[in-house]
Amino acid sequence: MYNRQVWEATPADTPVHRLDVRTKLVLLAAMVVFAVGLEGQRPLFLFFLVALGFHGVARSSVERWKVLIIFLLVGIWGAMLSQALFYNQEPRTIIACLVSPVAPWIGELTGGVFVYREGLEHGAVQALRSGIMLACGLLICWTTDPRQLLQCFLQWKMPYEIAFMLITSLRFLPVVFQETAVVLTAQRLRGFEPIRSFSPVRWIRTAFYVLFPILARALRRAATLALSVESRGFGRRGSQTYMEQWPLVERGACMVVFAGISAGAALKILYSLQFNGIAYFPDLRNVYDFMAVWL
Amino acid sequence: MTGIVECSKLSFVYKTRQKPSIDNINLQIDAGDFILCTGPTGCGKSTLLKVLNGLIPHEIGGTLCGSVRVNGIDSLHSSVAELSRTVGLMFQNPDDQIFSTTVADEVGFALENVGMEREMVRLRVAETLSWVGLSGREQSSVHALSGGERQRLALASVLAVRPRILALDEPISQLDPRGAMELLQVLRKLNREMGMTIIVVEHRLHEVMPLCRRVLVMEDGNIVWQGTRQEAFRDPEVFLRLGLRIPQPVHICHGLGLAADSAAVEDAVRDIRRGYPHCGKVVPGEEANLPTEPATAGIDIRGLEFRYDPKGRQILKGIDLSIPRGQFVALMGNNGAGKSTLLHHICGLIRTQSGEVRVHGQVIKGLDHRVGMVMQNPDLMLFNSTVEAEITFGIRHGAARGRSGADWRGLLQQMGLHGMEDRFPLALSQGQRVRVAIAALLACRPEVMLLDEPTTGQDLGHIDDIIGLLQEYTGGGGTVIFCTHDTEVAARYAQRAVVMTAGGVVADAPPREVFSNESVLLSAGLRAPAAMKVSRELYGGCALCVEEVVRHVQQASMGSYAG
Repeated sequence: MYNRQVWEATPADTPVHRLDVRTKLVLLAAMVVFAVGLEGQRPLFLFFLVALGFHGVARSSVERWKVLIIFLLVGIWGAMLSQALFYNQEPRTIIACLVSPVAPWIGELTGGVFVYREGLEHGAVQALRSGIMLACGLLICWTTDPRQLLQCFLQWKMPYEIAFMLITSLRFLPVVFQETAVVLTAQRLRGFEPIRSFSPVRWIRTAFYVLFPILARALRRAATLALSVESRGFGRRGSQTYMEQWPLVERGACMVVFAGISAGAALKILYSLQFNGIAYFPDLRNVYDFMAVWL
Repeated sequence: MTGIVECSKLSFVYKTRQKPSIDNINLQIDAGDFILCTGPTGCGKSTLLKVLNGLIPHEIGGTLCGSVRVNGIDSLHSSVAELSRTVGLMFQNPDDQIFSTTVADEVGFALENVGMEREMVRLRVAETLSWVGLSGREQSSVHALSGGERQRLALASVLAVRPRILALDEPISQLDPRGAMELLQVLRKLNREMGMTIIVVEHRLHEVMPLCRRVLVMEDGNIVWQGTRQEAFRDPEVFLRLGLRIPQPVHICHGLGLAADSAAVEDAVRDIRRGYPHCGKVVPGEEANLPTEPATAGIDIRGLEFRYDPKGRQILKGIDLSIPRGQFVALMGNNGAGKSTLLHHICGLIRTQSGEVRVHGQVIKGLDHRVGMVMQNPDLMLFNSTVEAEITFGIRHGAARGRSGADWRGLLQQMGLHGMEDRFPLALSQGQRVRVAIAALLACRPEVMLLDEPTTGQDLGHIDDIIGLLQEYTGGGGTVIFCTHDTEVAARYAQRAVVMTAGGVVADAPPREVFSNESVLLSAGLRAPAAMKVSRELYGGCALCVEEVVRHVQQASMGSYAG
């Protein structure tokens, strides 16, 4: 947590770093659409590997891989566990019983607590989806200059206030992580050991104790940053912001990706029509098979 | 002659306040001037700067009356973007204003905002970086720069558009002496060689004053004194009344009833010799170090080595240090020397990799509540909703284990925080926040106190209050180690000075001895207090503070020290 550079964008000479910020955002959007639209485990897993592959191309440091893996593992664990226990679709297959329905009090209260195989599978799919988004989001944060992101958002007509708010939060998130660690240390130095306590009241109190200084600092920092960029001629009234030309090759690649998304959406619609018995085209039988297996 | 800045009957009240932050100010600044604006915290200095570049009233809400013309532009009717080409504003902490990942992008940001062509931006960035001594660092990551370099980068980022006026809000307050010196040299060059008008708001006026031409002193939103630097040197009464620290040579002359014309040591020596021809010599025993009583083990560090990364730089290189109970130690050295890492070892925040740390004979193996620490940034130590809750926090949560809590109300009184018991700590001024953090720690009565830059942002009176309390604490057997870059404070108050460079201790002796050793000071990027230099030139002495020099000269002139 102390190493702020793990969280902040750093310059480097890799293909990912060299990509135009607009290309990165389009690719991120495409990955998100695919992650949400795909239902098959295999394609999702492939996309997940692609997302991780981007980190390899960007030569993410060992510390960054550690952060990414921790986040992914926590996400996978959370999604699979919650879905395994609370999956409520049918059919569902019980593979383990944690609390028997006939157990006194708790069994009657809960009706039994089971682990469902379909829940685990569904959880894995959800985890892959969130993993793809997380990996791509972190990749953009770690490889993109916040200044370029801000200029890009404004060029795309995002309201100034929202764009600046987004970038400020990106810019200060690493600082907030670092300062949270410092605040917890300061509390330990003064005899408060919240981490070692299992009391929920103490945990809530700790959250407030941590939030006070962090929020106060974050507000001060954000105000200074806002004044600093405003006083360097940047602002809601400024319209001269200079942005480099979007390279033609990258723009072309984005068009291809967009076409791919559109084609995928069209296929999904066709498949959905067939699946629900609304429209069936015999010539597209191979497409339906492909959709059933891969998408 | 009309000035480049003209304020007439200027007043401003923030939306959330009742009282004006600046009140009926009339000010004229000529082109090419170098102005130092100073005054106690909350006197309206920063507000004045924000008015000049239009942030007030265009971005910061409130009621503004009067008129402001900057380079002929009415700032009340011009946008911030327009004014930013005339007035460049730089803030206190570079980390809060740097926005990009590379040096070139950061400097080019303002140029892109005026629509400059890419090739022109590249040339302008290179030229600007050469002005601030960062040539060739265009593609460096901003994280790879030192604190001083980051501040110069922040300066370059506002210089890029070539503003006619440069306004700087406490630009050196976060820097070590070396970083501060580098930045001030750049400002001097910009003013002298390029004719840029510079307005600096700063508390560390003893460092900035020798460079400026005019000085403004503000109090309660008003300019209560203004004049040339020489006039300020001749009549420093207003600075002393407001607890502002003037250069020591000037302070010495003032103490001797002489009018100083400059802050230079040689000029002060010349003036004193004229007024007091018989300065005598050092008499035996006059500058003896304070007697030390038989030492009882306080902190004992043996062979301490440390690296954050097994393959990375060695942060601590075999530190051996023994500090007896009741000692008041100044830990000095440039940023990155390893001071904070050493403090973290003593309080058990970092586990030793090699060597050991003992406190009162017991090996430190983890966080130890016998050791209290005040971090450099007080904001991160304040997390309660009232000052009272903050100060009594440690007592309530067992940090005062086995020891009774100090009289915290007395502490409040002594720290000048009386009447603020119910205030929200984070809404106090920086100086007050530091004092609350120190009081909160003192309330727990730890056996050892570690303080990281406790005097930053404090005026002279409050430094005296803080040090007085800490001395009272050491008098009761407590041990204090405080990190500081401020050689004047260390010389005046510490019993012992430890100087670190690149992870090792290069000097460990009473301050008089350490500050006499020019080569050690040079290696650690420190400078001897000016009072010591004056005493050396004047009578071959080695005085640690203004009072010592004044006392010596007065007594020598009366005959008692006459050689």
